[in-house]
Amino acid sequence: MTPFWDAITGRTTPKRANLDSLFLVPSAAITLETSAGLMPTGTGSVCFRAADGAAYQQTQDDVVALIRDDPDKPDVSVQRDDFGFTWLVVTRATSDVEGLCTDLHAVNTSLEEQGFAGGLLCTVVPFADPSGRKVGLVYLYKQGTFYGFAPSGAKTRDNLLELQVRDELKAELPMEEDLQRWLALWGAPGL
Amino acid sequence: MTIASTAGIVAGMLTRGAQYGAFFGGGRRNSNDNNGGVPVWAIILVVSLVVYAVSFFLTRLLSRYRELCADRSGAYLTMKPRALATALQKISGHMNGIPDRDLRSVDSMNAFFISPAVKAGFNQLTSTHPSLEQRLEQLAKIQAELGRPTDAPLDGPAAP
Repeated sequence: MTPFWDAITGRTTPKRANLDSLFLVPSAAITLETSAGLMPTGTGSVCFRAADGAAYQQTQDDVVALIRDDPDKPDVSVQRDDFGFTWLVVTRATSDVEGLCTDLHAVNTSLEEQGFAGGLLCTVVPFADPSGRKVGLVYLYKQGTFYGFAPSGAKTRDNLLELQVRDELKAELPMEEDLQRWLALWGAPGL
Repeated sequence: MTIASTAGIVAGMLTRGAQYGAFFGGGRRNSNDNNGGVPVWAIILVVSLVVYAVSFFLTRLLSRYRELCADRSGAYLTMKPRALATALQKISGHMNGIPDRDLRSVDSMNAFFISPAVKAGFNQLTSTHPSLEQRLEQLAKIQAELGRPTDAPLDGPAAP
């Protein structure tokens, strides 16, 4: 009854991101490796719109310090892109996908807790295969779903590989159903 | 086309014949025998119209199936489903499913997007070719099948 009433009154409830989905990525990585030969590259990044002011800067510093405190000493860098978005890039050993996803989860949750949830855009975990094909597993924060983004050139993308990734991971991850939402991320770090 | 569409063609011809029968023979028959029974031409007309309508959709369905079948055998023959997919995308304009726009440039515009509603509508039912989306999905499945890494390395240097 409630969805019907919402439709009548024209209300929409935004989807809540379930950040725990990020912990499903390590098992998805194994599936991608066995079924498509795609291996994790060891990097992962979170894309968000940085806010002005001291509160934001402090949060970012805290997150970076938190990740650097890890005994494995992962490499963290902060980059700005042409669209005005900030990328927080974490690099770890290629085999340590669990650690990487924990870091990405930590970045997302701390920004969310400090009230910067509105600026969070996506989280990207890139994969590559021996023949040089690359595909980024993108987690859309505002939808709570994943999709594959496989750039094959400057502005071209390998739709077939993206569909293949969706078919492989359908059982494990919440994949984005609407193909219109599979938007490109040209020049994302690690892709 | 082939045997598949014979029923449709026969039905179409009968419909046409029944129309003429109605035009030319109708007046005379009405004046001679008005015994209240349904005229034969009307039955033929209705039956053949139904057969024609059904066979219209069936031949289209068959045509789409053949097209998919051709895609599949082409992909296996060339072993390059990806090349076939890019060619398909090139000749049929751009895929209306997966966009080329950047997520970051679109993010602030989200409010202006109206999601496309109809997916498999009447358009799809009467088209002779399957939708590009459908064809690409099939090719993606074939690519997944062809691209699966070998379980055990063959003789010689170990596979990565």
